[in-house]
Amino acid sequence: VQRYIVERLVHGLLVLVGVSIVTFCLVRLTGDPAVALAGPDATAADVARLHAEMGLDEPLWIQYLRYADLLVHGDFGRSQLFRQPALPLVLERLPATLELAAAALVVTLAISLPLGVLSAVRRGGWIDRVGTVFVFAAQSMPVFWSSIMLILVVALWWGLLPASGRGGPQYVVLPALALGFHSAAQQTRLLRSAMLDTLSNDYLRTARAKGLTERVVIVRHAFRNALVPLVTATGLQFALLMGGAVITETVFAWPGMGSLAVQAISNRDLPLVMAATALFAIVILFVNLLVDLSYAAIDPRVRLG
Amino acid sequence: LVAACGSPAPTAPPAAPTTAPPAAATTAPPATSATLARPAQSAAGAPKGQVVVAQGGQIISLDATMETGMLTFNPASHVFDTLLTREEMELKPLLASAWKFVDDRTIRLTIRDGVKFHNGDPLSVNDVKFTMDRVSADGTKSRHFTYTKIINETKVIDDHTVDIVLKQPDASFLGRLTLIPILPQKVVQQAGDEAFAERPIGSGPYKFVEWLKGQRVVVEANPDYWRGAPKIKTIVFRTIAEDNTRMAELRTGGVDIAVNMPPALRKDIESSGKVSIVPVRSLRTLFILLNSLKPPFQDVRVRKAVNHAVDVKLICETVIDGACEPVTGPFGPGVFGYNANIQPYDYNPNQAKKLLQEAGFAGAKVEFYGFAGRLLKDRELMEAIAGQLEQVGIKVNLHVMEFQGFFDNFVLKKNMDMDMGLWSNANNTADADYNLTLNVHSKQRGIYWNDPAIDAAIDQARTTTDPEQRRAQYQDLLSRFVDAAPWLFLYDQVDMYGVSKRVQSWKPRPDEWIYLYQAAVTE
Repeated sequence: VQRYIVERLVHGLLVLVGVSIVTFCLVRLTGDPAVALAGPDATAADVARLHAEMGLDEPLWIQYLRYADLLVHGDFGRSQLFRQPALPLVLERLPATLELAAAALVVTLAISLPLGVLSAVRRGGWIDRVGTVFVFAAQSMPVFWSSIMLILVVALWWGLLPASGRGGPQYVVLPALALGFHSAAQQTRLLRSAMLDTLSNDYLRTARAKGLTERVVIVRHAFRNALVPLVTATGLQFALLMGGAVITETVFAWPGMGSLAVQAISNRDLPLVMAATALFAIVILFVNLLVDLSYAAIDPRVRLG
Repeated sequence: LVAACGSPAPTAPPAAPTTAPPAAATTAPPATSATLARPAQSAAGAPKGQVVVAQGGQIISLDATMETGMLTFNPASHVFDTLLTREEMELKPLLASAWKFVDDRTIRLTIRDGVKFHNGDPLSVNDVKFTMDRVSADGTKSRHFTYTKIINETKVIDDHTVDIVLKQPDASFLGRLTLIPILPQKVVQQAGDEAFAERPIGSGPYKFVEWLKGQRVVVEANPDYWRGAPKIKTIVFRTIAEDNTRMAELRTGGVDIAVNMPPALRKDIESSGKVSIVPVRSLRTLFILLNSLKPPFQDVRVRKAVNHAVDVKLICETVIDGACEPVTGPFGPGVFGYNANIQPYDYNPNQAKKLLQEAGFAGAKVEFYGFAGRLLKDRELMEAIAGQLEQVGIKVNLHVMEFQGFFDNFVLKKNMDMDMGLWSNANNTADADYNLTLNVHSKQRGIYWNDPAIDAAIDQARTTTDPEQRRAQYQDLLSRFVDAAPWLFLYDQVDMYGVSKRVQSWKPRPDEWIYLYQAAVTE
């Protein structure tokens, strides 16, 4: 297993190099960072001055190598917009992003676990129908719209929770609901079909024939086998919740990495974009590794390596 | 709708002689210092209460000598003082108790005695020199440099006097001094730029308390402020990017002042009776650039035809929900140098058609470029204009781009594919020079326009230090400019502020500066 982990980490490094090249090209080819930085009152001369200052006059590949050299030494450079080292700026926002992603994951699982399992077990029953309606509704509502509706109804009309910002636990509820609904829909559908798959297996008939109660059959035999795809999806979902919170963060004025990344991108702030993407990439690689490792724990037939 | 964009805008045409840029060798009259409002201390007593201000963008620094833009200046101006300030769009003394032009390029400033920074150190002429050098030295990273590069040097004359010497005469420069806060040299040098930008110390009416990045900046009343303690104890500047969220927070009482309220929802927002929407005619003017360097807009008759073909008043009332005031030229009456006697191009499609015919316009397609999501209803505005032009026989190809790409390609690089382009200008110094020099003068941007006679007129007005003479020069220049119709003249944007009724003695300003020193709050 240790060799497997080392191999995976080496792969991860290669992925990060790829991510850095793609990020660099995307940021540089979509616009001129000096123009963004100079502001709408700048003249061509102002932009030229910034160009020279930021080393943007050199060929693109030299600029990349120069930047890659920094990266190899663990330095993301300084944000052009904030004029501060890029990595600390991003790390500063990490706790808020993790808090929101974790809370949204709780919402996701709290809805999808019972709903997914019960819809499969009572296939065609009322719970299944409610589940289907929920899945349709939650997936077809744009996050932007459902976020604003939550603010209007819960914060403005009912006055139950604060409308935006970050503070005590009451502040995370609305954004977590907005974000969690959407992924709960996907998870419910996935879990339902995984459960239906396992429920039709021969070993379940065997288990029932042994005289086990229906509850034991479902929880110990069916659910455990449906867990493998569920864990994979949950891992990916967590990564998506972290990276996909951009809209939710903006609507709820939540000070996470997503809103920072958007600001960095619209300003073509390469060091800041790079630090944010690298951090997202590392989180996703790490979560994937954990997911793979957990297979072995869930399913004894899986051998890593 | 008419009411929404009508009377409330407090920008009276520049009446009577202003004290603005004083003529050579006149100090600011003592009356000016006296009118500098002090909060009524007797009744108010100690500062109390909290006001939350919601801005639409993130604050990237609290060092307003390095950054420009109101997102930074709004919180920073509470922590710092500037040399001069502006009230009702006229220059007033602040840290400089008086100023005069010693010659046409030397500004002599008298620095006030007895001003202390929050750490107890007195503010001295050296701090003024340090700050001015910081924003104007070669190689400075200050984003004020576009305007401060005209400074040749800043000289300390004695303990109370500083001279700012310009490279060329520029009467509009004084306005810039209202946007540059004076920093404590010793503290900045000890802390370093980075740390100072995060935990600033100034001489202003509020002391810095905390800054949670992406979230809020909190400042607290400075009881020892040299103009007297402010009335509000705590001010919080929050970042809420989404309009609907800002509106919800305003209505739930989570914020007290919110920028950019959607004009269409005014009634809805005011229905609770706890908040009002306060419109103010801003210094941001929108216009359409016409490419006069190639046909068809090379012909002045075609440019005039466009100005007659578009019903700006109707667009204002319907498309923009009343949040605008049509202008007759490149800027509105809030700007020094405005000419009230210019006859607007009236909406007259027949006249437009006649002019097009005279010019031999054969119905060529024009390429109209612009951007969306940056100005209120920008996309809808362009579509409306295109629709009205089609009605007089000008076919329009509309291209909506991302803002930075548009700016780079057309405003800076002047790509000749463009026939028409959306542009706007926020005239934060409220001086004609700003807009004209930047956008019209061929030595600056000269966006699709090149006229040596107009260049010369701009140069002449900029170097005239007598305000009345200068105003007359602008008025003459403007009537020539409007007659040449290099732009389709549109309107001044009207900003809508949501204001809680708890907030007293405060009203929004045309320059987007939110300053609460004289305001109060009820519980």
